[in-house]
Amino acid sequence: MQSAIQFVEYVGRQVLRVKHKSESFYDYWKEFWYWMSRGPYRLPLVFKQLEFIGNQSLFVLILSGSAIGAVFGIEIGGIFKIFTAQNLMGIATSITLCREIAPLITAVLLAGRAGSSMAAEIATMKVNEQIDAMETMAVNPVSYLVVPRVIAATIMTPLLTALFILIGVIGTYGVGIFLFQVDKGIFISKMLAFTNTSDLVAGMEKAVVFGFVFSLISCWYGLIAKGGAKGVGLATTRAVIASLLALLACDFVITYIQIEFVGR
Amino acid sequence: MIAFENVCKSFGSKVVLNKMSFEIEKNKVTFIIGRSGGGKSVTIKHIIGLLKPDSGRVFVDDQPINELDKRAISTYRRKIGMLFQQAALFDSMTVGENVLFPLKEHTSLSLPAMLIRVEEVLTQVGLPNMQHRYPSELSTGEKKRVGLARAMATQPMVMLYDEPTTGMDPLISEMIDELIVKVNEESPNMTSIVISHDLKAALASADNIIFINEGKVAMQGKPQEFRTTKDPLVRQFFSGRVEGPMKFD
Repeated sequence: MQSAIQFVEYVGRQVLRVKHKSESFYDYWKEFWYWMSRGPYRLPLVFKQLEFIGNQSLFVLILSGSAIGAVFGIEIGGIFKIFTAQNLMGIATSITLCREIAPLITAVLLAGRAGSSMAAEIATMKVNEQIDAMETMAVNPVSYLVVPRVIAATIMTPLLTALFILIGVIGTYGVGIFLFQVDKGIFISKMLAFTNTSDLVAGMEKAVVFGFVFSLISCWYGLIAKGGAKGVGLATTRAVIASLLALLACDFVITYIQIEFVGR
Repeated sequence: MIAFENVCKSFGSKVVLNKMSFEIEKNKVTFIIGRSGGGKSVTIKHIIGLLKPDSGRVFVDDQPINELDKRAISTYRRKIGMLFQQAALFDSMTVGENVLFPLKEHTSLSLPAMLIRVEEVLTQVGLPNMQHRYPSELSTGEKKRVGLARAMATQPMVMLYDEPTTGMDPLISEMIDELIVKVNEESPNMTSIVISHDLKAALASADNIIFINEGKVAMQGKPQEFRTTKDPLVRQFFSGRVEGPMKFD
């Protein structure tokens, strides 16, 4: 009986926690759109974030893109070889990269690198009273800290996704040419012939949403951080986990909408 | 004038402010003193509008702060400067950028005029030519002074100091206390409110003192009245004795 009561109490507490968190996120969401719709947009801060998210992520992105493209080439090439269809490697890779792999992996990498950094930086400001100081100086933290970061991530994620696609295709191309002896001309011509603009657009749509989602979530976890160093650590970890889960959920929903309703 | 009118504030079951009422005179230095955890910081947060009372009202110049909407509270906060306990400087910015921050956000001054103002306030707090250093390169006392310069930059009508000398050596503490008085004297329209449990500083620097105990004002008056009072609560607090009417949880 005692353990049953404890279980009910536990469930109740969790429900209240989720309710409180949802209300807090809803308030944040409203606040974000309030400042997003009226500005100020603080362009120097946006450019600083574009540089941070874009330029400073290039190395890891190029490395991951080429590695994933090459591994993908080996896997696809191995399967296609059974049917002596290695020449189609380029098509399979470019379509998959455009529609799915590039936007998702780029967003995952950015959530891990830039998103965690956003959460940690804002959380540190929160626990050191810097956010309170900002509010006392009549500067809204969502307007000053969140809006420039979200704008920058929403712009930069599709650009980095495009780069990822290019690097990934080069990786597969290298594997196709050197390991599977695919003809260079056939690889490129078939890839170009069968990869449509709509595949690229589908990927870019996802990238825009992914960039918006991971940055918005990461900043939120920073703003609700509590305590000292432990609070900053927790906020960062939670920001990354929540971002990854949200990215996967968004990926499913967008893919479904694109295929069922838009016909891409 | 700043006035609290029967302000109550609780966090969960803990009552922090219990029908708190007082008035703070304009253009004076008022110290709010009391035990740690006695509601001093909560009081200051009500003045800034970071917290709203459960009941009662907070007035600044006859304006009920707790009834202002988001936009009005933002406009109101431009008249307030605050020195935080840990200075709360933005560590990604230099000293100059920290002091420039409120000027950039809230004034229409040209950049050269803003930079002149930055130099002016840094000189006022005894830190000229420090613009290019980062907060991590400063001592605790220097950080506080930069925090004070930042708060003063926009010439606020009300300056709030949250335990400005906590954790500092006696020399730096005295320097900060002198600075508080100097800043108030040099800014004729400024009202200064200092949250502290430094009695020596309160008696030396305050025009008025408000003593808070258990969420209520236990005594309010001039430093001289506090020196001569026979109120057992105040005497116990001043003497630092554990035995007495003050309760310890």
